[in-house]
Amino acid sequence: MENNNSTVSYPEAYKIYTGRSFSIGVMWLSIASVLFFSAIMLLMMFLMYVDNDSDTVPEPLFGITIASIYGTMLVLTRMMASYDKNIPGGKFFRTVKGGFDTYAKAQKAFIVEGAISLILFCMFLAILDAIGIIEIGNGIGSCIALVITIFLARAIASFSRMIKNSITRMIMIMFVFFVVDLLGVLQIEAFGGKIGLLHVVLAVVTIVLTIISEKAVLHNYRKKYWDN
Amino acid sequence: MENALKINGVVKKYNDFTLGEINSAIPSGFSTALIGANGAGKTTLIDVLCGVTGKNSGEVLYFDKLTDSDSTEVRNSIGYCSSANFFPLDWNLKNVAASMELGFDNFNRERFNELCKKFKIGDPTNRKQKKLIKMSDGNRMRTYLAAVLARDTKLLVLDEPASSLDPLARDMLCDIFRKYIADGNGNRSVLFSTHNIADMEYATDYAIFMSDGKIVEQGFVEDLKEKYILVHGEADKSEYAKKLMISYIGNSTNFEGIALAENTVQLSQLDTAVEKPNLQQLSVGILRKAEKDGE
Repeated sequence: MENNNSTVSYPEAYKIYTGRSFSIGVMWLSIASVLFFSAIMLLMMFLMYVDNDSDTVPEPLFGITIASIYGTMLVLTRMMASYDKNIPGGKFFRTVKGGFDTYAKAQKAFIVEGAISLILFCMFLAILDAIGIIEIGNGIGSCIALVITIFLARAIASFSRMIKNSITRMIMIMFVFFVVDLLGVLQIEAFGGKIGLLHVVLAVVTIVLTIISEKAVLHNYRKKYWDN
Repeated sequence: MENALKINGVVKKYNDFTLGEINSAIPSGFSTALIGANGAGKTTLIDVLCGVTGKNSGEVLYFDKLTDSDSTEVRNSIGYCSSANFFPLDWNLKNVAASMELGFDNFNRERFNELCKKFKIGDPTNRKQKKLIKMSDGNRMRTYLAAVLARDTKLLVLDEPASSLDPLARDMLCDIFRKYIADGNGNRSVLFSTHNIADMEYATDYAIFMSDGKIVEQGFVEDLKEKYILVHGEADKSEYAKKLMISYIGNSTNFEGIALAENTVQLSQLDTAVEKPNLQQLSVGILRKAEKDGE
């Protein structure tokens, strides 16, 4: 098959692959994440209240850890999705206009969807911190550091998508997220949520790694699965 | 005669199966059935033709002029659907329409809405929608057909469209094929694979028989019915008759099978009854011979 540049836009590619518009997708993912996170936090606070017979606000480390876990789940949603031809929809997606280029555009749209949802989620966290419902230490700074950490983990873990064995692939992705998230949470705690040169460097590294990993993953997918 | 597809030496190799070398032509303006046992290579061939799977060698000529299955013109001209889970199962009719509308240049949403109502699978304009996962296999297949028929295409390629449909729906499918071809004034064609040969005979003009990844026979159904005969006889004549037949099944009292029409005179001398086979009988005979040759 020859290269055929897709004429569809990124939001159109997203819609072809999900059956719904990009804005609706981002909205639902953000609302679901906020509601789910709130439910977890309320449950935790209730359990603490019952346990300690007090109404103390959870420690920053606790809040940022829970947020980190939840932010990771948010990004993982699309990352783990499979579009092989043997799964429902797989053959249909191979026949649509633009073929592989449309697939590549949809994948990029999924990254943007994850990024917007994560940023919206972290803004929600910053609001909760500002009004004192949870404490994450230096609110907005911690949130920015959290977004960088999760996307750095995503960029590194993305290389694991080239592993053929699905169990090994999943273990590797989880392991990378665990290690990077853990280091991220510890550095947020260590810096007290203050943003510095380290975070700027990490943000640049994250962007570069995301571009490299996505190109490598798409190239590998086309060669081993799409054209096969 | 113009061809919807011309297949020249197509080969697709897997670790445990090889399709080809396939050489064939799907005539334009007719309905062609791909007939074969499970694992014969029907789905693989359809996937290669529709660009779902790559090929190792060979060439496919689309509509006598195009060779790249990835080109927008070929993608827009072919209406393809597979039998199993063609769309993601968490989709509803609205999602299908939204995706198809952008995925192809020639999708008509109004036509899709009409077909959904005609096939009694629901109204895509309703707020409340049933997901595909909650539909029966038959209704899922009707959804795929509605989606593919809502496009203005030149060739329908359907993988086992009749397998999950009830007899009434199969009859309707045959009518759909006929109407689709008639509306195209000779420029529209249908290619489908099937196990339900008897039910789909009315919709079959041309037949391609496949066994073990290869084409073992092909031609217009009416020509094949002239080429082969169906033979019945009593068991005491079976030993000699067997030598003149390409496929044979018998018991202690009688036998039946397919033979080449050129042997009609010799077989008639054995007090056998000779008649024109239907597509089902023809398929069983040809495929049984192919399996025997393969052994």
